[in-house]
Amino acid sequence: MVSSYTRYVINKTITYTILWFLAAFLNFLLPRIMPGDPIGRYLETLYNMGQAATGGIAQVVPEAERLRQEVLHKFGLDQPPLTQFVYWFINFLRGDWGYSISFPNLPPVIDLVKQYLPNTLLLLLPSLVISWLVGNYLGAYMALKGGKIDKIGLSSMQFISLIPAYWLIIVLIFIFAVNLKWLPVSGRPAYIIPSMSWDYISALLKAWILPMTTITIIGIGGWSIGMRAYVIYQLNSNYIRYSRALGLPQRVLSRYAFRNAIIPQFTAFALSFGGLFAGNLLVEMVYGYPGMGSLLALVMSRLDIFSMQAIFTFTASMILIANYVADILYGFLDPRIRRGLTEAAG
Amino acid sequence: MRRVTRSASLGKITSRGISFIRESLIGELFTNKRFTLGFAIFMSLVLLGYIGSLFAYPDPWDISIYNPTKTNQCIEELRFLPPSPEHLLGTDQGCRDIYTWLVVGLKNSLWIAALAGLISTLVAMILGLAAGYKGGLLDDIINFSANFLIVIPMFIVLLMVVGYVPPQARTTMLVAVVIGLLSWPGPTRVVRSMVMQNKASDYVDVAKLMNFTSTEIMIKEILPNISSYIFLIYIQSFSAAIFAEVGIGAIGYGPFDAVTLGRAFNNMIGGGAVTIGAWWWFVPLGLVVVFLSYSLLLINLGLQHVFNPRLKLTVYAV
Repeated sequence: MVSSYTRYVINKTITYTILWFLAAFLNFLLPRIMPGDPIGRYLETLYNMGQAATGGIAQVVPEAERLRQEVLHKFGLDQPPLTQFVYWFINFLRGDWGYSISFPNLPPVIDLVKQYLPNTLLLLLPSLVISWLVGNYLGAYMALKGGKIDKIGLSSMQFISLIPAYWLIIVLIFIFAVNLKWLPVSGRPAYIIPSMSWDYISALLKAWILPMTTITIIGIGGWSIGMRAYVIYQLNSNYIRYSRALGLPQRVLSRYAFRNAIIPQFTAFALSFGGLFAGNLLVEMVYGYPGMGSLLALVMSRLDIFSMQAIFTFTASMILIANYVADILYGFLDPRIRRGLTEAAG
Repeated sequence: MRRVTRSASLGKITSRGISFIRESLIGELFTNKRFTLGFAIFMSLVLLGYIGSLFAYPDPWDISIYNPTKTNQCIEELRFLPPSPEHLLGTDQGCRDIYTWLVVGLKNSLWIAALAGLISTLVAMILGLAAGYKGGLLDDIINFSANFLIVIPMFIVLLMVVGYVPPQARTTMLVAVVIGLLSWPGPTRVVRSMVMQNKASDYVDVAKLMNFTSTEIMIKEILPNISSYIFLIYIQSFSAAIFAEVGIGAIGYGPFDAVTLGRAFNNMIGGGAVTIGAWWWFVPLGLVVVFLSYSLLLINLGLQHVFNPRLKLTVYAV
């Protein structure tokens, strides 16, 4: 029995390793088969900056080809594709994610991620926990009450879950920032350099409230719809009918249904991370909150393929890890599923 | 289906006619409240796109028609106008008519969603049939790829693809095709499981005994049986494509050659509609998207109820 569960875990580990490798390869391949000239764009930026600095020297054109070769050599882009991939992949594992050509001083991409990722996690994790708790409570409440409450509740939750997050935040900005002037209109604490000073932290917290509220509200919609369906499923199951026939009070029945319905929501908690991350990117881009979304918007607008590659691979890795953990935990949370898995595997 | 017999009495014809409509599928659909409401909202949005554009200016980019200087040069007096009979939703930072952008964008977005939904449904249908019926290695490969693409949210892959495409290459057609080609995994899994259920049924065994080839069984026998589910899948894909297009459009990675809802969103965000307090600008845009998705959800729920009350299709949102 134990060995078959171990086999399940090993199986999942191998699958996810292959998936991760494929994701990394896809990320490496895509910018290379797409049309577009990122190096040209980079040289152009450098040229414009040089022109601004030197007062416009037009002698760069014959130099352009030599410069391009130099840049290609510097970034290792004159190597055969396979060699490039191997180097890139090994370097990615070692934490060397290349240099961002979005900025003139070529900062390492990993430093950028280290700077922006905490802000995104500060947004996602509390929002995930709050929307999970409130959504599950509301969903169970709707299912247990039934009748009008259920009908109106379900329709409004369906409606809420369909609101695009990047539009909801605009409406919230309009109400709380433009009209009431309680919060900043933009999440960009631009004039303050990131530090541990109180000025920076308070500016960040003020910028944090609106995107946090937005993704929490929309998350509540999705969670409550799922929970309602699970609780109704449990309420219609035989064990509840039997318990009701035995004359158990409704309070006890509700507790039974709730406990069984919450199990799939635990795994969904880990699985939802990817979708939440994706939805949050747009919210950050619209509001200018200094997180991964804003960073991605910046490097995408500058055709910075090195940063894009690293950020997308990193994002995919995070999502795959979350899914892997969910798959492994799946068996531990529900003894019935664990037995089912081991029986199926053995 | 019951055949309608002609009767001499006019009253009888009408009553039979009505009962015939009620018993037919379409009639039954309209007795479903959710479907009727969803269909009404959806059709009014389609009409807003088509009839509404009759009251709009012919070209969303051309401002010379209402510009006193008769040129396409934006002047200060025409910028950020509030709603008026001439500009139903005011004007934006480039003096362009917002109402025109809304209706033209709605029309184009509906087309993109229709095409993207069609592509993903077709791909899902072919792959799902092949994987579910043939099984074996083919099934393993298709199933693995579908599971792979489902793990990573479609929107991130989409962002990755359109992010690497240079702006002038991002045509309406390309965006529709890319959205369509990226959203097949969820639908494919649904089709695959449907096909696997049908494969085990008696009528397939009979067809095999009658020496039908597997292609014939797939197309002539199984496909008609799962067609109603495929229609549901199309509506879900349509809805997902609207979300995807508006999403990438809003951050400036939508089609380059046409005004879409996503482009209108991007213009609204870029123009700072919210900071100048122009609620007439961002409220209608958002409501159109929300009601479009909501109407499609209602249509889908209604159809599910009519096709099979016990059916549970997962709604895979973006």
